Amino acid sequence: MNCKVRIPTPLRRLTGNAAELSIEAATVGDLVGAIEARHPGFASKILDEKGQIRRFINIYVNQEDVRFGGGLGTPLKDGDEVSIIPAIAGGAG
Amino acid sequence: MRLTVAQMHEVIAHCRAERPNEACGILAGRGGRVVRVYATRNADLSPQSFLINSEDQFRVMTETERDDLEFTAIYHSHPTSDALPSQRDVQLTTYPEALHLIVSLRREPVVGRAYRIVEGHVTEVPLIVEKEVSDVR
Repeated sequence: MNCKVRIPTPLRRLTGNAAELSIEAATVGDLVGAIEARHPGFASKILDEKGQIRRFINIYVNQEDVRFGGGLGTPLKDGDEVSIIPAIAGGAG
Repeated sequence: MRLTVAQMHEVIAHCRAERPNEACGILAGRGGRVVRVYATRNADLSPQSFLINSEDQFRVMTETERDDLEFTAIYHSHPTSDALPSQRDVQLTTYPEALHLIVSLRREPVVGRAYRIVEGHVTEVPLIVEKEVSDVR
């Protein structure tokens, strides 16, 4: 399935400054793997040591946060728009 | 960074309303001038930390991309400490292009200060609060 992937600024140094990628993948997990194949080092910023989506990363397929759905197993269809979004956090600590 | 008195009031009002928890939001603009204030939800609901609600962040990113706006700054409050970036603020910075506006509610009057935080380096930048043209006589 061919998907459009939105890459926000914090991740663009890993994608050769590309703001958008066109990726063939059947699931969100496959998509992360396909980006990793093209841009080595990408997956480790998105997934933790257990292969799960990192706490400060949110992945949306169209308007849906995959964390509240199928996670990395979320199926993709042609024309889906995937957004990989680093969270914004901080505070007095 | 530049914002109007009304925008600064909006940010401060949001920070006060969320007390005792930290407030957080995004200032969208162009060329360092704020055009729109997005008050977002703090998913941490904490007096000592913030995490912008992911749904709110997604909505803001979608709208700002559509309207060709940048993340001029990310703002948050320090309800009981000074307007200085904490270690957590520095460590968790993700969007290097966005400045950080910190509003301290520790004492009155409240204090707002702006910083650029890039790869662990913190630099204070001028925070210019302007009257709207319609206010100038």
